[in-house]
Amino acid sequence: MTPETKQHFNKVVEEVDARWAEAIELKFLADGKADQTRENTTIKAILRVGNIRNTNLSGGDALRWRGRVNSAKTQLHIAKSLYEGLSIKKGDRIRAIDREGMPWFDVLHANYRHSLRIVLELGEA
Amino acid sequence: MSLVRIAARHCLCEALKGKTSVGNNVQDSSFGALNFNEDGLPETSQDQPFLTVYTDEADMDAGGNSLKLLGQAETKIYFEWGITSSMSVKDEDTGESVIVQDIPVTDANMEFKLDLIGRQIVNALSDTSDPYARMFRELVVSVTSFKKARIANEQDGLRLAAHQFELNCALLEEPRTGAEVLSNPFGELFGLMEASDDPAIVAKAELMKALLEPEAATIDVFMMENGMHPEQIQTLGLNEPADG
Repeated sequence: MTPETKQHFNKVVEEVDARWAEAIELKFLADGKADQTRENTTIKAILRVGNIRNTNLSGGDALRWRGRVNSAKTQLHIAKSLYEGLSIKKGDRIRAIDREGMPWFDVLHANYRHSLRIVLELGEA
Repeated sequence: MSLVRIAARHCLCEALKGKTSVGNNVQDSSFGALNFNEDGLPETSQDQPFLTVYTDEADMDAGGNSLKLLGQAETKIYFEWGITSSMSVKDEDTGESVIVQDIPVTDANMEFKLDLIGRQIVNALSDTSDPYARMFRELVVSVTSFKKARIANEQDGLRLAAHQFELNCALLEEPRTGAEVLSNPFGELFGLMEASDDPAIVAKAELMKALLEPEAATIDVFMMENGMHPEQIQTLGLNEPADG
């Protein structure tokens, strides 16, 4: 990607975020406790909650498990050009403070490999 | 293989309620989802771990030429309990959350909690000062195997760990139709069910008792218990049906 192209893409990302991004609190944790080395902050990013899947406890339909749970794949898309804060890791937690009930999410995986965005795979917390 | 299973599940659920750290969140045969989220907003909040009791396949030895279906059956009883990352107490400020007291929700601590509950279940089942634990003990004739399984995953947006006990045991034969005195523990169990505050449990006791037809004629009871054809009765136990 040429620097010009990247500039264009970043512009697109900014436009998209201006319309769709919502306030998200980042809560940094280490081993489940507040991480003293990283300070919590609030950012703007795009939160998308997927369709609900109903599976048994195995995450599929393995016959030996009977109890069932619902889960929804959820992702947070953060524009790299707009967020230059601390790196986010598995085990951190976020809170969607614009949403009703201000739901919490666990960071299950943080993907930094896209050139324009940091993508966080989230779980219910 | 029918009323005995209902009795076993009822006794187990009652014996386990309040005895483990899942509190009263003990379910009988629950197959609905244990949590629900849409846009990240829990609709029914399961804020604590859960425990569910199921009875599964059963196997009865049978033979001979009569339809005797009320005997003891080798039955699989499952206990499933689990915890998800949403079932925790959160600190609004830091986002820290704990499973219990000062123990944070890490993978290792979820597993720790599940093994603790496992032992609590075993303790509760051995507590014969509890009438339901004692009645369950009376329903179990023998135990063939006892297994534990575990599972953990964080796919599809839910971090979850769960344990399972599989208790393979022979359950008592069904209570007798037309019996003047019910076999143990059914007399006591029906008494407790009928005294329940929950009208559904009272109704269940009535439905179960109705099946035992206390007014049934002796000959019908004999025929049913021995699974005999009317003609077998007529010929006093001969294998060949009587002609005409």
